[in-house]
Amino acid sequence: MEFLLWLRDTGYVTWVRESTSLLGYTLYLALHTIGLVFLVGPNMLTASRILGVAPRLPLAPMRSYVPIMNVGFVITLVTGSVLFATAPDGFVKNEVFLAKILLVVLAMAALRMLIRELYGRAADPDTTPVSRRARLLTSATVALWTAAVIAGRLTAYSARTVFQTLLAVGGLAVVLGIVAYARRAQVNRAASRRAAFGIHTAVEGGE
Amino acid sequence: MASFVAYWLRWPSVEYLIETFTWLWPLCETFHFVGLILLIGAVGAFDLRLIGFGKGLPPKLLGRLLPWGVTGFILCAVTGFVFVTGIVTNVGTHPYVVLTTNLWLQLKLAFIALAGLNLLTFHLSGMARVVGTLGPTDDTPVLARCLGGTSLALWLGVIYVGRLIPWEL
Repeated sequence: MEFLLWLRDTGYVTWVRESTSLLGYTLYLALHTIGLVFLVGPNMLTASRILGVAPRLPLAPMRSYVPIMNVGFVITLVTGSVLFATAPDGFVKNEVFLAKILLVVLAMAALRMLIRELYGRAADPDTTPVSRRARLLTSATVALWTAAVIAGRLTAYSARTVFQTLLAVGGLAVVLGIVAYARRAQVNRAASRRAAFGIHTAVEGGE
Repeated sequence: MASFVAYWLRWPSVEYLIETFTWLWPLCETFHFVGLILLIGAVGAFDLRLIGFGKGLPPKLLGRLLPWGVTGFILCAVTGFVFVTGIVTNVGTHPYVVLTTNLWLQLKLAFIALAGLNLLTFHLSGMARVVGTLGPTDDTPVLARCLGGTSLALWLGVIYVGRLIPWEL
């Protein structure tokens, strides 16, 4: 705590907090969001390929997104540290903020494991089907980033508002889940109808 | 004219909802961010390929992700509409005053309009058609590169100035 208060009162951090300059607080706030976009955006694009939203995109060239994600991570980490330093005594007591940090750490761990799983082997990731492990890790990164972004946005609000917002987000997630499930069932039924039709003609053709 | 615009900018129904449901504003903020990630995730990847980053990815297939970017844009537009029309409840400033005095909001709207023009140019110049026929590792034409770079810069600018808006209210 002593250290945190010292950090908060160092000259530069005080200037960042109190200055109305465009190079002060708002610079870090804006860059924090830009870094987030570079980190989570490519992650979501890779996820869209692995989870079957864009199944025909090749995976191998997506390796060039890894340095972009690294740059995005460094930007968010540096700007986030400065933002934290402007009010560290408040942040360490804020449960929503602590939850966000935990979620980010878990998401980064899952992302690193995913990158190793996808590109760590000698084999071309496009010639072999995506492993179950890669799919699980991808789902984990999508869920964790989403939760981290929600927690990050809610850091500024009171516990009551946080609770109500989480309920609303949960309700929406349930609705979206039901819609996605219904659509999937519909697609599966159509596919099995086609398959049944295919078997039927094959039998006829055999005779 | 000014009073007419000012009258239509305040939506009592939206203000009522924000006042009654304290979770509405933070929920909209969250979806504004989710929308922004979808938008930049899809559009940014396409723009990077136009500039020459991500060779090996066929531009046509990346282009098929663009509806996700449109979804993100709609999410941002709808939640942004809630912020503007219901802003009196949150900060006590009339939306007409905010729109006429907040430089960052004005810049943001201008950047969005420019990004729209940029997209229109991409289609009208025939670049969209040309890029659609390119193979996974083909170079894009110079004009397509310029338009991709402009698009990426404008969308990042939108995020940047957007983040500054609440600091001038």
